[in-house]
Amino acid sequence: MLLYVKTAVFGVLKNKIAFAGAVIFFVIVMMAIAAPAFSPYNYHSHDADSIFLKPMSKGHWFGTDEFGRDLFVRVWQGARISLAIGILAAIIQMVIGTVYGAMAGLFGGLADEAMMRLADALYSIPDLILIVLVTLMMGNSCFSVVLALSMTGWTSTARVVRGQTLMLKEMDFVKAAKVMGASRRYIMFKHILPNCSGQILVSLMLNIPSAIFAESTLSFLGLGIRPPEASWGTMVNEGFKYTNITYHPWVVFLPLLFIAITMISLNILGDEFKKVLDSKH
Amino acid sequence: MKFTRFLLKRLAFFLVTMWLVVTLTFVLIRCLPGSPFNSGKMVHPQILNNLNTKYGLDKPFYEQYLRYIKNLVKGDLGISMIYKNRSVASIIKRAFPVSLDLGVRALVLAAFVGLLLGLMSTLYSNKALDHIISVTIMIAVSMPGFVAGALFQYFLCYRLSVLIQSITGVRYSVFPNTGWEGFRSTVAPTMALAAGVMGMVAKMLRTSMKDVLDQNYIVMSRAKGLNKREVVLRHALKNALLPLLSISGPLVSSIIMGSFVIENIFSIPGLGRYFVSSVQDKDYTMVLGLAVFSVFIVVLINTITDILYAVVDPRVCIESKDRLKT
Amino acid sequence: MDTILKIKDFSLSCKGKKILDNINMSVSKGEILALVGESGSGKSMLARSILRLNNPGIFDTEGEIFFEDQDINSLTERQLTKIRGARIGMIFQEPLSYLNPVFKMAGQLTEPLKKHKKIKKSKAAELMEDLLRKLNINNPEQYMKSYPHQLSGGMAQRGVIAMTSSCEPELIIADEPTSSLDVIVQLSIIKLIKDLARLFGVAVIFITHDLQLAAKIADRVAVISKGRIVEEGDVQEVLKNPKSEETAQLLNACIVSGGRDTDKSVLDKSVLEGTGTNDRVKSVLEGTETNDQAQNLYEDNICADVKRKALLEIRDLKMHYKNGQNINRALEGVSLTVYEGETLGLLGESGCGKSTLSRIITRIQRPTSGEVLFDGKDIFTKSDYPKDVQMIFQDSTTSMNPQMRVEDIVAEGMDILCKKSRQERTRDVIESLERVGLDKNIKDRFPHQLSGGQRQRVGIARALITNPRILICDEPTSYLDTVSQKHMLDLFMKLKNEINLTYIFITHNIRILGNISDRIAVMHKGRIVEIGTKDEIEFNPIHPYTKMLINASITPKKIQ
Repeated sequence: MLLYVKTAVFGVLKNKIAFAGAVIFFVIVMMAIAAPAFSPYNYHSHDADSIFLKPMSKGHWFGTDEFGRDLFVRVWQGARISLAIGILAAIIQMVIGTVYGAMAGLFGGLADEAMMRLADALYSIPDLILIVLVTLMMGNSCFSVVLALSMTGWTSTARVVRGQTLMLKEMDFVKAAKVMGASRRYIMFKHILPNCSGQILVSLMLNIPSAIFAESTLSFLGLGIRPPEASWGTMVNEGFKYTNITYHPWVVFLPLLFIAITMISLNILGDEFKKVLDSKH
Repeated sequence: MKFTRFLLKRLAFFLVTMWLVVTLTFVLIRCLPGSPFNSGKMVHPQILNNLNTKYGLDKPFYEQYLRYIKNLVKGDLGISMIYKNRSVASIIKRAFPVSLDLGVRALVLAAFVGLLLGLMSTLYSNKALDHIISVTIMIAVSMPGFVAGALFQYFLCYRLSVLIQSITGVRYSVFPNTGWEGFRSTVAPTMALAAGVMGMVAKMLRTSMKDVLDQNYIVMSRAKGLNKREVVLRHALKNALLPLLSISGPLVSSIIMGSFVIENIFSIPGLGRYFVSSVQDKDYTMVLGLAVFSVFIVVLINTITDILYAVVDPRVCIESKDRLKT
Repeated sequence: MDTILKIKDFSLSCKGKKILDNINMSVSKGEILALVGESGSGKSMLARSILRLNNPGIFDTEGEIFFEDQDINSLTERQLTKIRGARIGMIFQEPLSYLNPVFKMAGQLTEPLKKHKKIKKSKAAELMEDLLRKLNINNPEQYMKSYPHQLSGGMAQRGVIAMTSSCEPELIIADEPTSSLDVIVQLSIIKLIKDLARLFGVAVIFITHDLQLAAKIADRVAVISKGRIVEEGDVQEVLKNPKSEETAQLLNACIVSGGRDTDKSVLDKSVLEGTGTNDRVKSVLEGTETNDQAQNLYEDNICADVKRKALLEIRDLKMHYKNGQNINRALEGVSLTVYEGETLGLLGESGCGKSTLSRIITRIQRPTSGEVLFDGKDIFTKSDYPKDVQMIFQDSTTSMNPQMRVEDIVAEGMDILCKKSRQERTRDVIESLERVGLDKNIKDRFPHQLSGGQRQRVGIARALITNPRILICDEPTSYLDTVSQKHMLDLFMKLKNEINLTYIFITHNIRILGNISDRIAVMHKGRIVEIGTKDEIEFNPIHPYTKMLINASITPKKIQ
C-alpha cells in the first residue's frame, strides 16, 4: 500500500500545477485552523458603526457585512465548518464505499449484482434531493448535514473499488494465493485492498470537493447550516438576502471566492492523482 | 433476443428505483416531527380529528402506504399543506415547463460548447490554446452552480447596464436579473446553468479522446494514410462519444440540481424555486411530491440514455456476458 | 535488383535514450526481408519509424530513409500521408485491436482505396469483395457487413492483408502478423503473404522473433539486437553460419526437436488454404474418445522396469459452465495418472481445457463431476494440500502482487501454512532464491524492478518454498524471449535432478515439450485424445489431431 501511495504522491508533486493546488489547499486549511485566533475581532461582534466597510479598510482586511461583523474572521470561521464537514463526510463516504465495493466484488455473482443495483439506484437519485429529505428529518446541525452527505456520495467509491476488486480477483497473484490455500479475508486485506489504495485515495480526494459543493449549495439555499453558525454557503446566502450585491459585492463574493479556490485546487490535485495512477497501468 | 432481455432488465431497474424513492419519501412523511396540522396554531381537537379522517391519517400504516402508491400512479401527489386549495400536481403542471425550458436550453448550450472545446483541445493538443481551454474547463467544473449564477448575474445583469449607462446615459438593463419573460431574461440563467455542465462535457470528451487516440486502431488508420483531421473526426470521435453517453445520467442530475440554485438566484418560477420555498415553509407534502417527481424525471432520462447507449454501441448487445471464464 | 528502401544511419531516441542506433538496412524490389530479434530489440520501433508512426513529440530521429530515392524521413506529415497506405502498407500484430470496433469491415477496408485512388464507395466495396474472395474468404458480402469482433483472428487478418494490398503498394511492412494466431492459421497467413509478394512483386519486410518462421518465408534476414543490426544476409546462409553472437544465441534457443528435416511435407493442403477448420478433419475429431490403450501400454512398459508410484490420479473429470442457453463443456471426462518423478507434458491449443484442468488440480475451482486423488486421498478434503502441489504461472507480471517485495512474495506460501520466526523465514527465502539461481539481494526489490526472466524465477522460488512434490507449470515460457526460455528450461531440468520434482508442464508449444518431458498428453476440446511417451508422440502420432499439431511445427524446407 505504501509503495503505491508513495510513488503516486511523488508523481503528482512533480506537476507544477498540482503542486500549487496542494499548497493552496494546505494554506487554506492552516488559515482555517489558526486565523480566527489572531484577529482582534470576534465572530459575533456586531458593530453598528462599521457596517458595510470595504475590504482593506481600518483593520478589517476583508471588510464588514451588514451587521458590522468582521468578514475576515467570518470567512475563516466559515472555513472551519465547510472544510470540517466536507472532509469528514468524504472520509465516511470512502469507508462505506470501500467496504461495500470490496464485498460486492469479492462475493461476485448474484450478491454482487444485487448490491450494485442497489447502489446504482441510489446513485441515480439526485444528491441534493436526498440530502434535503434527510435534513428535513434530522434537523440542520452539522452532524445531520454530515450524515446526509455521507449517505449519498459513497456510491462512486463503491463502484470504483468493486471494479478494481473484480479485475484484481482474476489476477494470477490472487490465484497463486489461492493455490497456497489463502482464505478470502487474507486475499481481501493482503492483495486486493492494497492494490486499490490508489483509487481509493483518488476517490477521497475528489469526494472532498463534491462534499463541500453539496454542503455549500445546501446552505446557500437556506436548507443547510443555519445561522448563527455559518459555513461559506450560508454566508453567501445571507449575503444575497440582506445585501444588495450591486452596492456591496464583496460580502457575497468573498466567501464565493474561497469556495471556488478550495474546490478548484482540490479538483486539480485529485485529477493529477488520477492521471498518475492511470498512466502506471 | 438479447436486446429485448436487456430492455426488460433496464425497465425493471427503473421501476425498482422508483419504488425505492417512493417508499423512502413515504417513510419520511411518517417520521417528520409533528402532525402536519400543528404548524403553530392551536386547533380544536374535534377539527383535528375531522382533518385527520379526511386525509386518512388515522388509518393503519399499511393501508396508508397502499393509498399513497395508488394515488401516485394516478398522478395525484397530494395537496399542499400550506396552500390548502392547491394540489401538488397543479403546481408541477405550472412549474415544470419552465424548468424544462431552462434545462433544455442549458443542456443544448453546454453540449455544444463542451463538445467544441473538447474537440479543439484534442486537435490542438499541447499548444497554447489547449492549455487555456484546460484551465477554463477546470474552473468551470470546480465551481458550484451558485458561483456561476452570482457571477453571471452580477456581470451580465448589473455591470453591463452600468457600462451602457456610462456610454449612452440611458439606464437600460439588457439582461434582466429576475423573471422568465421573453428571450432576454433567459440568457443569463441559461449561461449560468450551462457553465458547470459544459465543463463536465468538455472534460469527458477530452479524456475519452485521449484514451481513444492511444488505441491501436488509430495507429492503423494513420498507417493507411489518413491525415490528423480525418483520424480524429472519423475514427476517434465516434469511439470517444460513446463514453459520453454514459455520463448523461450525472449530467442530467447536475442540470436539475443546478436549476434549483439558478432558479433561486434569478427568481424563476420553476420547480426548484417551489421546492426550496416549500422546504422553508415546512410544506411537507409539497416537498415530497416535488422530490418524487424530480427523481422520476431523472431516472426516466437515465433509463432512456442507457437504452440508447446499447443501441448505438454494437458491442454491448452482441457480446455475450460470459460470467465464468474458461 | 533495384533497391526500393534504403535506411541509412538511422537513429531513434526518446528523451535522450537511444532506442535505435545507426541502422543501415535495405530492401530490394520484390524481395522478402525478415527482421528478426527478441522482444525489446527495437524491431517494432524500426517498423513504425519507417512510416513515422511514432509520436514526433516524444521521439527524435536522425538519419535518412530512402524510399525510391526520396528521403521520406524528411517529408512533412501531409506529404507522408500520400505515401502511407498507397505506396507503403503496414500490417500489425493483433488484427482485432488494430481494427476500429465501431465500424463495419466494409467502411474500414475500403478507406485506402477511397482516399488514395479516389474510388467511389460502391466501386471500392466491389473491389474489396473481389480481393477477399481471392484470399479465400468464402462469403465476402457477409464479411463486409460484420464488425471486427464478430470475426476470428485469422479471418480479420486476411481482411487487413487484403486492405493493405488493395492500393498495390510497392512495400509492405508486416509487424509480427502471425504471433497472436494459432500455429495452423499462422502457416496459412504466411503462405498468403508469400503469394502476394510473388504475384504482385511487392517487397515485404517481415518482422518476427522466430528465426524458424523467418526461414520459411524470407529470402534475406536481418538480425536486430538492442537497437542495432548485428547481421544481415541470405537466410539459409545465416542459419547455417551465424556470424554474430546474438544470432547464434537466437538459433540455439530455437529448440527444435532433433532438428529433423522431413521431406515428406505432410502439411495438409486444405489447412494451408485456410478455409477455416478442415471439414474432413473436423468430422473425424468430433467422434473421438480418450485413448485408453496408450495409457495402459505405458503403464505396462514402464511399470515393468521401475515400480513407479502413482502420485496424482484424475478420474473422469467434467467441467461444464452454464451460459444462458448454452453449456460450455470445458472438460469432458478427463482421466489421467501422474507418476512420481516424471515430467508430464500437457499439450493443446488455446481453448482445449488445459487451463481448466490445472485450476481444478490446484483447487482454485471445483469440478462439475469426477474426482482427483493425491496419494490416494481426495484433494478437496485434504487439509494441507497446498504444501504438496504448487503452480507456476504464465505471465510473471500479473502473477505477483506489485505492492509486495520479493521476500514477502516468496515467503507467502510459508506464511499461510505455518508461522516461522523472522530469521528462519529470511533464511528459507534466501535458500529458495539461491536454488533458482538468483542473488539473495533481490529479496528486497519489487517485481517491476526485475526482468521477465528474473520474475519468472521468483515465481519458481515461491512455488518451491513449501517443498512441493508436484509442480504445475502453466505455459511458463511463453512470455519470455527465446534466450530466456532456454535458461528457464535448463533450470527446470536442474531442479528435477536435484530434488526429484514431478512436473506437469502445460503448453501449446511442442518444441519445448520435446526436450524435457517424459510423457506427453494431447488435449483437444476438453478431452485427452492421446497419451504416450515423448518419442511416440513426436515420431509416431496416432490421432489425426496430434498429427496435425506435430506437422505444423516442423521445420520443412521452404514452402514453395
